[in-house]
Amino acid sequence: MNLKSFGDSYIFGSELTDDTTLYITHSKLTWPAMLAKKLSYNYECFARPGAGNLHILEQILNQIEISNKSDLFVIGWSYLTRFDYINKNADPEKPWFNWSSCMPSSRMSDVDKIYFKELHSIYRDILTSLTYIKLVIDSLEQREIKFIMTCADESLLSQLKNPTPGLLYLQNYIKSYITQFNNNSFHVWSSKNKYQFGPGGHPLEDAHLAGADYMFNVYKNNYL
Amino acid sequence: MNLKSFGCSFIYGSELSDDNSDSNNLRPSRLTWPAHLAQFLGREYETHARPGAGNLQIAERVLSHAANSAADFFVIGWTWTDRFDIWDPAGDSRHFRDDDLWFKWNTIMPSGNSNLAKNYYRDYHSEFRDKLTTLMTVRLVIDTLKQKGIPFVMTYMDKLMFDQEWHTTPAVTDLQAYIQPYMTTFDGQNLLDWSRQQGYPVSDLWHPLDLAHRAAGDYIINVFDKEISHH
Repeated sequence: MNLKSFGDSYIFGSELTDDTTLYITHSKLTWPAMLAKKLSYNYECFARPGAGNLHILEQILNQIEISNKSDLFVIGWSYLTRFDYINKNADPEKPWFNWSSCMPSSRMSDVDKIYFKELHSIYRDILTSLTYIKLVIDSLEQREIKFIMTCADESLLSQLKNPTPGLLYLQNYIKSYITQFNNNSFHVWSSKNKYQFGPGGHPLEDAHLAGADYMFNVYKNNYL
Repeated sequence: MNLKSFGCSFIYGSELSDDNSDSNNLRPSRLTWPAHLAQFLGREYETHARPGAGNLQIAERVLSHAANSAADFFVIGWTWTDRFDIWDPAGDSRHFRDDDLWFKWNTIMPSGNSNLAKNYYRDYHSEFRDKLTTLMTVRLVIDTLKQKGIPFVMTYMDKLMFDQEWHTTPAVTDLQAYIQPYMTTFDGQNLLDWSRQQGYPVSDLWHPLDLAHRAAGDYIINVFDKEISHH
């Protein structure tokens, strides 16, 4: 019985007190890790700080075929604006060097700037993330694997001006599968509840502890 | 009770003898192999293919029609995996009605000479990413059509989708195994290679011409006669 978690730095546990080796050893103080403890699951974390949703999707698909009904998947989808690509110039010594992600920040590289200037659109971001999420939902259900799915980006289900029927269909399809924290992302919920944050903007231990309690109740309602 | 087709120029029918499209109007051909199939099945033919489209754009159109289709039959021709669809809010509306939401799609392809294409293929493109995103998109469409009970025929142009020598992970190989049984080929080939092998005329822009589409329509009718009758 394994609880397998997937996502970005929120699931990896960046800035928590046991995150001493940045990008290599995941924290055991995250809400998915503590949920595993409460449910007596072995905990495995496949989250990667900075990952976008395509990268997360690949990690999940790599695990689905070697998992079974007794496992529980916890997935934290990331911000929709992140664009994952295979970085041909990356340092091979860096963990997970093959994937890089363009993301908006004040310290964007030239590659990031070109992406956001010429290729990016909110519509494409939402559409592609919705396709990844539906694929994962269908794949997990076909394998009868239990899962809890959250999303860091509250715009995933937002109403767009003139959406295509395809995009609306996807939003309606996945809506009931996304579990948020009192209808908020973990970040927003932690902020509203006045939990502490690290300098890098990640909720710290207290937030994760409360998040585990919250998700334990969700699990009980869904699966027990 | 229509037959709806989706894809790129190979499904649209670019360069067929009734392709009267110009820069202001798109008039899809009715001499394509999906149009022949529609005639055989006695169904009205609608094509939602768009020349130059990439697979994300194709998938979005399929999903948009699947959302409200029940009794229709879908034909989908997946295109080259290295095309990258971008959503351009400014859009080029010359080809489409004002209320057509899809004119905002634009597609980057390797033959493009723009700086945009050069930047994309230099910095962001990889065969692995193409393969992964195409395979997951195809699987998503297969699952959706099955959930909706919509019968379909699916073909593809790009053999790289099923390549297992390079750029594979468990995710890729599992997706390949999942979607392969749903793919229809022309004697194991795509329409272009099959047309060339059979000696049918192909244009300089690689589009099989009327004779090839007629034969391909007959081929698909023969291969799927029983299954189609069942639907």
